[in-house]
Amino acid sequence: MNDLESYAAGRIPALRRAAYLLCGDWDRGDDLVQKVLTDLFSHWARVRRVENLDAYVHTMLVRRAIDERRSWWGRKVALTDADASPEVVAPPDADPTLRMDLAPAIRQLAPRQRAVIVLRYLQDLSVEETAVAMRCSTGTVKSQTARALVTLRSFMDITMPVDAASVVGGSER
Amino acid sequence: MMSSDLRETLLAGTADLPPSRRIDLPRAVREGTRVRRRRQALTTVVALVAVAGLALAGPAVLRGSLSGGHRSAPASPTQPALSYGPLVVDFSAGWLPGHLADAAVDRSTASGDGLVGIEFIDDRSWVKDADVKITVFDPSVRTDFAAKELARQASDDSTPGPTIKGSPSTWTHLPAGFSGVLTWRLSAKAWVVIDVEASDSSYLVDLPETTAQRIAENLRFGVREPVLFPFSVLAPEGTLREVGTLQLGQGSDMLGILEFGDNSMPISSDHTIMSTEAPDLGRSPGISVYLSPAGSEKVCPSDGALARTTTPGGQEAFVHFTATDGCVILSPVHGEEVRIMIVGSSMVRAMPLDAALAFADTVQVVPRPKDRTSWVKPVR
Repeated sequence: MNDLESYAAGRIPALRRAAYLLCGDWDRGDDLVQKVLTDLFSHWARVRRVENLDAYVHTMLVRRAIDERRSWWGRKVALTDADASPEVVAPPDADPTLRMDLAPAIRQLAPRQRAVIVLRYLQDLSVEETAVAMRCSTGTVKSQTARALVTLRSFMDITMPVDAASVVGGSER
Repeated sequence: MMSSDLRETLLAGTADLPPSRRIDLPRAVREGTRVRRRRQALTTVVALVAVAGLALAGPAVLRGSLSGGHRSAPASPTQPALSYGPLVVDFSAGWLPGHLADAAVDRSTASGDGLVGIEFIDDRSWVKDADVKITVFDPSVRTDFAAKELARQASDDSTPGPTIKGSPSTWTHLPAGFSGVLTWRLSAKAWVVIDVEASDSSYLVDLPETTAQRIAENLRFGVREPVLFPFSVLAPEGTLREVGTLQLGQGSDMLGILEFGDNSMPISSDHTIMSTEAPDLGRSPGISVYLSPAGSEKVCPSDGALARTTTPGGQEAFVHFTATDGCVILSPVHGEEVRIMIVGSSMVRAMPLDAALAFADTVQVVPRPKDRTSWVKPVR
């Protein structure tokens, strides 16, 4: 196993968590991770030159997720899923309270809102870094973050992060 | 649930991963590697075949290729009048998708063997989102062999492509990302290969094959754009001529490589130039001038101990010379390091140490090497 394979193997759990939050269920998230891993190995010459590989890979993941939601296939699958209202598969040993709250909450978020939550609060990226990853303005990141947090708060009792609280109600760019 | 930090909530909610049968790392490695090799094969095979065709075409063609001047292909009503030379790109992209239209040429190569390629990469963020590589082959060389090789290489995944300006094409879909290769038979002997790769479809106005077709339809020929570099040198004396040029993008370690050879070494097509791999620096016979970021370890291809010396112009230099290899490394100029590598005994004879040090003095790096608007023609 070479360095990149070792790296990828070690990152799979973190990628699965992020993909789950982006997609709203484990199976679709795992499919997304598989595609990103394939992309990673098809671009290894570029990947070798990346300084922050974690951020690079998670950006690939987020863009893939957003893009697939935009695509015809993604819209079709999303519509089918919404009609069928499938049960979100949660890990059997997870905190049942969390399982009950987190899954429906993240499913209420729009794809880009999920992306900002993953990038900012799971990957701990700054507003600026998130904006670069999502190819949007920092203002859009703030407004999407604020909206996402409002939605999450209606489902979960979470403390509003200080920086996000400051933009709730602010003007959207 | 009690109040908690959002990050902790997200981590806790996803802490125990369910088993997955959908993630298969070995399969991702296999498929990703296959895509990468397919992409490389489709470009490098054509380069190799173009070289073979050039060799078959005979000394007259070689002399024409390497004369330093630029030849025009025999014009016909259906054949664009392409001209080739080591320091000119005779076509430009009239249309590119998305932000690539605003992107500078990331790398280009114009080799003496008629292989001409330009590549555009949008790398404004961490992920290089889109990459279009256009390669045109000299219509004066025999590329019917190339056609057969391409067909053989691409047989598994290729389908007949659109007819573009009356000429046929082949499309090869690559499964990773949104990518593929359009091979367009521009005329009886000239081929255009367009490699389109995007990390997401928003970069493409349509499907990758439609995007490639539109790029092909809008190619402009006969533009004769000079290949510009962040440095220039005085043309070496004697029979040495520029036989290949290369610019690498800023994502690479190298800002530019300029190669010289003589008529006994007509082929200087660095096949790795057109691949996604790093070039095998300094191993092909010839004399090369490299510009790369300063601060990297000073290493010569022959791994010999470097001796400190001074050029005739008073610059500090580190050198190592043997009967078969030579290397001169100058102290950084405008933040970049200049290296001159001489590979091959005939090249060492053509440019021994004293001549190499004098040649090093002719290297002029532009004041702002990373600013492409300040780049210049590389041979004075």
